[in-house]
Amino acid sequence: MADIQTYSHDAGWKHTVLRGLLYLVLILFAAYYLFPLIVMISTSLKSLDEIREGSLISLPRVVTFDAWNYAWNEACVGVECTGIKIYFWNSVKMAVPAVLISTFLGAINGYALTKWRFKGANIVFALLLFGCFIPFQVVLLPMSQVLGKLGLASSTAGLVMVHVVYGLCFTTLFFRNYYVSIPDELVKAATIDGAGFFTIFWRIILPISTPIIVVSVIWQFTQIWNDFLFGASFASGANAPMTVALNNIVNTTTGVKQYNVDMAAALLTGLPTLLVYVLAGKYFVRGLTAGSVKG
Amino acid sequence: MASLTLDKVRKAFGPVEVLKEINLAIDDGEFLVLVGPSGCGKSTLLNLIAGLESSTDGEIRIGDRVINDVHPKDRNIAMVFQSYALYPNMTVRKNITFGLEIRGVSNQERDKAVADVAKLLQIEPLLDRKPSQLSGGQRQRVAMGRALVRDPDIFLFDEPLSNLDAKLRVDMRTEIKKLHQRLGSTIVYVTHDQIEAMTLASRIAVMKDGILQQFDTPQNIYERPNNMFVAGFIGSPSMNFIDATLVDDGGNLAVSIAREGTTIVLPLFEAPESYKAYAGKKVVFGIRPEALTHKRTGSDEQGSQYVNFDSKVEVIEPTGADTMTVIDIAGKEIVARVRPDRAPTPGESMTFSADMSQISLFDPETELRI
Amino acid sequence: MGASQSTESNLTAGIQRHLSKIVVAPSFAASLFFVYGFILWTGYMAFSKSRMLPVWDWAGLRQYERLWQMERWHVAIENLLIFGGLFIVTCLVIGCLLAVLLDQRIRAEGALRTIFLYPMALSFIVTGTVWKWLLNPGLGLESMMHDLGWTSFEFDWLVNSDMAIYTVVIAAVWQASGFVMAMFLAALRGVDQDIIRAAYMDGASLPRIYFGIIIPSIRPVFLSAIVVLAHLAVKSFDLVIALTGGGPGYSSDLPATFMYTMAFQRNQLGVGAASAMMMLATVMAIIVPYLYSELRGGKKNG
Repeated sequence: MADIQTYSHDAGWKHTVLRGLLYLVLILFAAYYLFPLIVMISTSLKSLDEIREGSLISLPRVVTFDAWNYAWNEACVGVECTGIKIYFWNSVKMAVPAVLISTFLGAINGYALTKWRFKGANIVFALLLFGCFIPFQVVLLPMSQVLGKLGLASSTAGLVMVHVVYGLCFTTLFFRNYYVSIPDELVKAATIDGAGFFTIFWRIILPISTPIIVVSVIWQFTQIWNDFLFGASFASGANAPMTVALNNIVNTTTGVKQYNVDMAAALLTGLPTLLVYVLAGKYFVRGLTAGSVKG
Repeated sequence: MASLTLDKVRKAFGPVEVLKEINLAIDDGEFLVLVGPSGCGKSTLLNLIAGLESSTDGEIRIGDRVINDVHPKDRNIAMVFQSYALYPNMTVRKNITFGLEIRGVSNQERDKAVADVAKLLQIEPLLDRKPSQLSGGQRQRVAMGRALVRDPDIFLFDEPLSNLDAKLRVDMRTEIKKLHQRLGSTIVYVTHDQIEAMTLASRIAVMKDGILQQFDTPQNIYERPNNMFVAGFIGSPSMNFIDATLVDDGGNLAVSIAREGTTIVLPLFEAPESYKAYAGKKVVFGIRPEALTHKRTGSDEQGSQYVNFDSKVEVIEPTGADTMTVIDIAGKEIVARVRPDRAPTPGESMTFSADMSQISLFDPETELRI
Repeated sequence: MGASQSTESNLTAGIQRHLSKIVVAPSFAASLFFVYGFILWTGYMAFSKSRMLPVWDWAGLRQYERLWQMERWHVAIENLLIFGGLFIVTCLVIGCLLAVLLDQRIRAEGALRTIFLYPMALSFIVTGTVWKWLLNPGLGLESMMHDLGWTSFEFDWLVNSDMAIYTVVIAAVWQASGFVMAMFLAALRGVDQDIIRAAYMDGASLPRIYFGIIIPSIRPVFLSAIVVLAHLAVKSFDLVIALTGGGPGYSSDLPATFMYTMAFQRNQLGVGAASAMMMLATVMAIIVPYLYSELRGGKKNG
């Protein structure tokens, strides 16, 4: 930290003006980032008439939750007018197992690759890591064929498998980098105490992994919940996840454009990940940076 | 409790030999210290005994049992680690009993064992804390408790004191020594600290580059080091080495040191037979600082044989009990240990006495003791 | 008894030794099949005659030739260069600026950081939806400016085929610049305080300290940020779909949307596969040297 307060040569009013300017710039930026969210919320609470008459930034004169209700229960996705709620549950049914399975596999992979190193462990890790970076377009075509052959086309189970397979490299990276910093002596001590591979994992390693488990769960949840490409490619129709449904609602060209419903649906889609971010922002940032800076 | 034998033990990682034919044997109840600079192979040797690594060649026996292929948990050993390796998620009590639990020891027996060990180590008030709530010294005790509770044949210590501050280290050293005296257990202890080695060991194994340099009692290693490495490694400040020639000085052998135009001739009063072959040849003259002091005369009751010479003083370093006096002999800095009240001032010339009964001579080529 | 105990423990030790490999094997196999196998599969498809259905007849470079003859692919590539360049530069500038500003012992730093970063938690589809609404020529920012009295204000980029790609930049920068801020802030906090103190004692001014000492010392973070952003840019798909749908026409197509359209809507599997391989090659050209230097650097540092 190199800050004006400590390191500025100026004193008095000049310093005060500088600080004032600093806060002004920061507040302007905050407004820039918040603006879309505020508009989204305020639009979702207006009636359609008010949207047409009023301005983007004006607050709703009459607050109504009709748009929310409509988006949740009645909005049309394609020809089905069942609201976004069934797609919300599709996303839940897809995200929860995929997050749990990929996190568990990442944990045990990371443990094996760091604490029970075998010949070629580094190569195995490097090959796994590579999967984090491929553009998924390159696997779309074969995957749709394989899912078809497995009878998993357009199913939630198929999406779970896809997300587990391509989430593995991230979770393995997280856990591997975390376990590298745990002293090997812990495993040696437990070996002498008579514990084996799985006992050490369950009784000693897993209980001290809470922070990285949180990072991994949050990262995977955000990725999987926000995914659109796999959802759109492999799960059309009634099994589509929420992002696909949202895009469908918004880009439907038939009928009157209901901006308030669009915004309500968008908020509903964004809410789970936003909630996770607000509640566990620290871990969210850790996941982001762990994904970008390798060790 | 049991004896330990290492018979021609080798360890190689691919083409790199980290241990070369180590032969060691200690009796039941002995305290063996493996000492040497980092990278000398001492920790690898300990891991071989523990079973955390497997040897490339040779045989390791505990008592009469060959344990090369025995899993660590079946070797009946216990180990204390440098980082203590306490399980962070478990209480002290759990840490201590984990090994017993894995081995299926009943609850009752476990409770009793913990109580005994906690009493012995005076850690009873800590039993329900987590390791993160303990100080360094307390963690150290818990780590020892975890080893003691198993009542193993052999205790292995891997630099257990190196993470403690200086004062605590000395206290714990004494404590480990007391514990050994009380329990009479067999201990193998790894350290890079020669003072720990001297104070704790019943026998010391000095290692360097994967080779066992000397294996003997602390006193023998100190007084009769096998080679220049051991001589320099053990003892602080370390032994002075001076290039010299062994000459015949009227029937008696003497050490002759060339020095800016003059020579210092230090006669040897009782030269061993082995010196004779080196008469007229170059040798390395080794003398510990405490054998090089302010002027004394003749010989005293300990059988010391003093020889005097003059030298200019370069630097003095008072330590309180003694004053280390640095003098320059033939371009080499030589440390003498002088009583504070006899300490010179730098630049001044003074007469020093060398105790010729406590010297070592080494072959300059092989660096081995003559 | 001793012998049997020994063989038994040998056996368990043997299994223990291999457990590690056994445990990693399923993930490794999955990766071999679903990543490497699929890349080969797609790579082969790009050399085949596949159109509507995958066929295995060899067609040589036919699909690549067709790809590069398509006006639409050239638009997508050009868009990627515009989008990628602007997106990376703007994110770096905003991210770096915000990080430095936040590094001034700011009151409520935590709250501001949360605000700057929250868009990163949203799906690109949500971002696209909201910006589509904001940039809507009839009811969005344009009408807001008109209401505020600026009646000549025009902002029709969303429906202007020359400008549509820039709306994608705007939305993408809004979403990802906070993340760059977080990366830089973490790096700034990691700079050795003693160096800053020493420079201050030497009489360096604050801008001098930043430009002369701090920013050069966090150079690796610039590299990481550029790689991450470039990687995001090449993979960008959802945002375009939600914001412009690639339109008007195909004026805001990116390679990712191009590939999707070819493969799933135009029955041009071969061309789709060829474009996917082009994307892979682009990402590899960025990522492989970076990973190589990162992993080697890691080794060097211990």
